[in-house]
Amino acid sequence: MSFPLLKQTFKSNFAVWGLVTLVMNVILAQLIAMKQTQALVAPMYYGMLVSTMVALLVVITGNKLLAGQVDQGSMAYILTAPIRRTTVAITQLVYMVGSLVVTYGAMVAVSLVTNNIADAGFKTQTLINLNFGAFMVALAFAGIMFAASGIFNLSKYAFGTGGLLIILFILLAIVGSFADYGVAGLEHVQHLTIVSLFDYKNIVSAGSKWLPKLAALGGIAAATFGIGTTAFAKKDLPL
Amino acid sequence: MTQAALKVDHLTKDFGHGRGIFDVSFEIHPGEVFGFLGPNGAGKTTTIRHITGFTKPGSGSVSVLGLDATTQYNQVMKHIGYLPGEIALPVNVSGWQFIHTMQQMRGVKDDTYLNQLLEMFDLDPSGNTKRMSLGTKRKLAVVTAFLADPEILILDEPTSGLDPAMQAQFIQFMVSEKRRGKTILLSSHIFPEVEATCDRIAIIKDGKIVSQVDANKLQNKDVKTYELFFKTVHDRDLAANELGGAKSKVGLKVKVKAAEVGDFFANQLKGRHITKLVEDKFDLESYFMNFYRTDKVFKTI
Repeated sequence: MSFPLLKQTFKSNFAVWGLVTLVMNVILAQLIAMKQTQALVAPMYYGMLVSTMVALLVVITGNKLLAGQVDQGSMAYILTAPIRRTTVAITQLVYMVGSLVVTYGAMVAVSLVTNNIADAGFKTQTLINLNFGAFMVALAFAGIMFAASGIFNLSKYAFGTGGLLIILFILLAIVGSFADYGVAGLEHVQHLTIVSLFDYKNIVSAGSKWLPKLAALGGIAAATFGIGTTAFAKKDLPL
Repeated sequence: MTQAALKVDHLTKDFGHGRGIFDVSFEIHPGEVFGFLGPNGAGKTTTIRHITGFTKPGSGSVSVLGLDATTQYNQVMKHIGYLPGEIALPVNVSGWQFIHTMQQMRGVKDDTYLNQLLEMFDLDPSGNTKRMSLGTKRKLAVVTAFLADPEILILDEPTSGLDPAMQAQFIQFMVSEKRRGKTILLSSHIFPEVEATCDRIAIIKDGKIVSQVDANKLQNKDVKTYELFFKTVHDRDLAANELGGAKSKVGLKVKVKAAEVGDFFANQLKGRHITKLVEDKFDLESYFMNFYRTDKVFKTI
């Protein structure tokens, strides 16, 4: 890993990361704090909102980490330093995962504190598990975008593949969620999206099925991050 | 024999449709300035991308100071400063931030050479890179590429798009680096800068090296050619009999050894009715235009 590069990456992505993280935390705190919306925290926030918002962050940042800089040309300066491409990719990966850890870490803190102050009645373990599950979705999204960003030299292709796939997963999750509101036939749609691997209902009812599903998300993240790193290290760069 | 600073060995990269580079070979010795000439799209940048390890060869190999440029590119980069042809600086950083990041990434702790470069180019790196003029951007790119004072410099069309004054500044930089014993690969299609700096020149066309020449032999520095013009034809014929040389339409072309130029002007021209004297300089441009010309025949409309 390269610390100077990590520093540069942190600086150039700080604004988007900070904004999205702030919005995610404010909305979460609002929903937990207000009596009328407490019932929506699980189905609306963790079932839909959180993945949608983080997708925005992941798609923008993921592209910028590799493909964006190759496309723009500034990657040439990074690579003229005595640094291996694998090191560059891993540094960017560390930033991506690290920034998400901080985002969801903040959400754990905010949700627990708000729950305590507003006396909303959520179990501590439930909130921790919900945030952990949402984090695993974000991690899988990040991996997919990172793979696209590592494979392609042009931003438009990275967006057109990784970005599009992530949006598709979210849309399918939204459509599939209507299975809970009376349209039972839509339940099959939920099998088409990786977002449903975050089984928030099972977490809320303190079941045991949710953990293996999250492991699948972890597997997707590991594989895609690996693909992105390898592709970036091996390909010919037009710099 | 000393080890080549940079060796390109039968390098081939075929992009299909006749594009790419084919069986490119050349060697650059330590301390040598090597000109890499060719029209746009001939394969100059593609060759350079192999030297920096950005692209893997189809066949053949590139080595820098004995290190394989494809697999040991991170070692190679310790010895190379690369100025890309397209200046694409990172956006939304100040010039100073960019310089400091590159210093850290290259592990440079001493600012002495950096300050020399900043002074030489009269560069003020404060302000956002986005708002810099092309000249300033290119200066900043040069400073960041060479702040580690590497022994091999690779410059891909360093002066394209710059005004003549700034071009001269870049040529001055290359000449001073050459004096400091640096090995330089200069890719260009601008003849004066190649003429001013290069020891050897390779011409690439359609992905193939078509000629490799010694610049000093080409310019014929040992013998000067002057064309003399006289008041009357009689004067011309008289001079031709005494000085020798070839008669042109109205003048006389004489070749003088560089060592005898002083004597030639002081004594041999004395008393002759000369109206004009032109040095017949070797013209790199016309020499290379032969290679530049396409073999295609354009249909007249």
